[in-house]
Amino acid sequence: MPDLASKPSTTNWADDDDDSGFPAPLVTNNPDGTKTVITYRVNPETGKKVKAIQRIKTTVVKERVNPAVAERKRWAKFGLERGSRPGPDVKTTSVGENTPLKLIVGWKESKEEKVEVSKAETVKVKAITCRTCGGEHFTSRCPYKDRLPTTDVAAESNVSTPRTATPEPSAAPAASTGPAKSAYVPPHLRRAGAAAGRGDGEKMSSYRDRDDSATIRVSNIGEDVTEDDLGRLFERFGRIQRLYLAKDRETNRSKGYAFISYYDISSASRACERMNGRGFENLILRVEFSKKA
Amino acid sequence: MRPILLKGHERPLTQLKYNREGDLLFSTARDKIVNVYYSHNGERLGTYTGHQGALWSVDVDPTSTIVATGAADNTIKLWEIRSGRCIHTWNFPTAVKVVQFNEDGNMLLAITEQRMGYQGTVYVFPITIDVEAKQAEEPIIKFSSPENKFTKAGWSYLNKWIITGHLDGSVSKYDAKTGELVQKISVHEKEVTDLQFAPDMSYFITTSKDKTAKILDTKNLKVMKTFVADAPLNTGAITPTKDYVILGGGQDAKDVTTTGSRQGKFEARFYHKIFEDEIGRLKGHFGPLNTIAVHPAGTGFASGGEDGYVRVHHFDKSYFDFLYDVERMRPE
Repeated sequence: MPDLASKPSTTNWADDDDDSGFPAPLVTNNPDGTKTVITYRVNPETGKKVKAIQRIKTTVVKERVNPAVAERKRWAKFGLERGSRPGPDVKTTSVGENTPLKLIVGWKESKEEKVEVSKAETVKVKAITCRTCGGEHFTSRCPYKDRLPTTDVAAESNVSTPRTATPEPSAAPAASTGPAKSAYVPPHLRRAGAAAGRGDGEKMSSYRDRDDSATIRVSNIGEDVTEDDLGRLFERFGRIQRLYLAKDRETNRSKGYAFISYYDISSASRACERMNGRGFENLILRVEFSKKA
Repeated sequence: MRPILLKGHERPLTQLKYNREGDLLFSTARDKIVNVYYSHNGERLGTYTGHQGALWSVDVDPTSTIVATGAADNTIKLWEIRSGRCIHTWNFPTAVKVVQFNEDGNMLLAITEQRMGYQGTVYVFPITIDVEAKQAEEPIIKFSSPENKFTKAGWSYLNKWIITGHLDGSVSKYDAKTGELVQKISVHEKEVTDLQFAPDMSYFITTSKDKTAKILDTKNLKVMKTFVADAPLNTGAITPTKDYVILGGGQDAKDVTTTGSRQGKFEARFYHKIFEDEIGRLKGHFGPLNTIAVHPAGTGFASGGEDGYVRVHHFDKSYFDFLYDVERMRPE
């Protein structure tokens, strides 16, 4: 281990002459085994003199390696790798993307996969439809080919082809019962079948007239923070109605801000008061009432 | 967990093997070369070239001096690990499917394929662990099983028995000194695809195309544990230090092009060895997994797929921390 105290200077030899006006670096040994080094230099960007105080702790990490393994690490490369430089070659070795391995009791296939499978099944079902009778075969192979007229009229009657789904509102409920369930439905007709009472479907206005008075905006959140973490952190101020953490669509990591709606304004204001300026993970949270966009 | 991807092969992987200390990783594939990597960073140390056909099996002796390879060019070759030099070649009438050193490294077990009128045969060769020594040409023991094709084989503890897996899903135990059949039981409904021993060799895991893996007692071939998967299994390994097994498989290579990679089930599956439950999966390969090898210290594992890639994983902390509630409550 090199003794720092014996070294005359830790600054660069090239600017020795220029910085001759500075006092020599001062090294003091602290009683707890650390060292304090005080050096002076000129910050090249601002041109100001800077005094740097560093506390240095040296620890020796010993790793025990089997001598045979240590010896093998020094072997020369051979075969197709003969003469290659030491270290991994990008041609044969690369680092893959991070794949999480989460071990859980009672592991099950994630829903996402199941959805995909069922989607594939419905596609398969829809793939072949006879234009004559609507059966699952090609029109030319239809057993009723001679008896029924081969027109799209038959198809129209059982609404099996998306082509016939007209934009009229009356066609939409029929389409939702037929096999063309996955066909495109315009936003103003959605949920028409599900909520029969209010046939007007989803409304964009529902976002606008939502009561946001008890909603707080939390920003400067670390990337690794999840909704659960936030929930745990903020539920102590009152019952949470809604928690939204903005995430990157691709990486699925937090974008650093979240909205939390409480049932009660007083909980929201208490959360603002208590949590604003608090450190969480390694960042200082900023908590305020959310403003209307 | 960030895997290290190794691209030393152009064809599907057939076997991976760590050496005893776990610092070297050997890989064989259906191309003609054998690769050896440093397992900690994936750096390729070298290759062993000289085989004329697809390679089926590889094994390292306990002192990491010589490596044996069995190939479809009907040969077994011994190589000096350090230099890549071929030091011996045995010729056979058919392809060699399995090579395995015993615990002491003084015997080599080999299986040849049943083909072209030749029976599948088990050979045991005496080995001198010295790169300059002349190796014996003739086997100590040689036996075959006419009605039942061998697929995999391994040495039991103390070189007492040779355990073999068969095409019809049965597992047999032969006396390693005489070559006599001691016991034979039917374990799986379909072909046994892999047979790997626990570190102390008192039990072993078999995987099969019938979508199950089983742990059997070496002493009496009793089925102790059964692990049920949702896809045909090609390989399985028992992890030291933690009570898990890692299984690999997926759809048959011939069906892969007809389905998406999600449905192919090309993941490494983690099961709890005692409770037989599936506890996790690890994605990565885009073809079925052909071989899995676990680091002898239990710190990581490597998987080789039909896609030609080897993925070397070093387990992170959560892997070692995982416990069942009953395990947590266990008195110290």
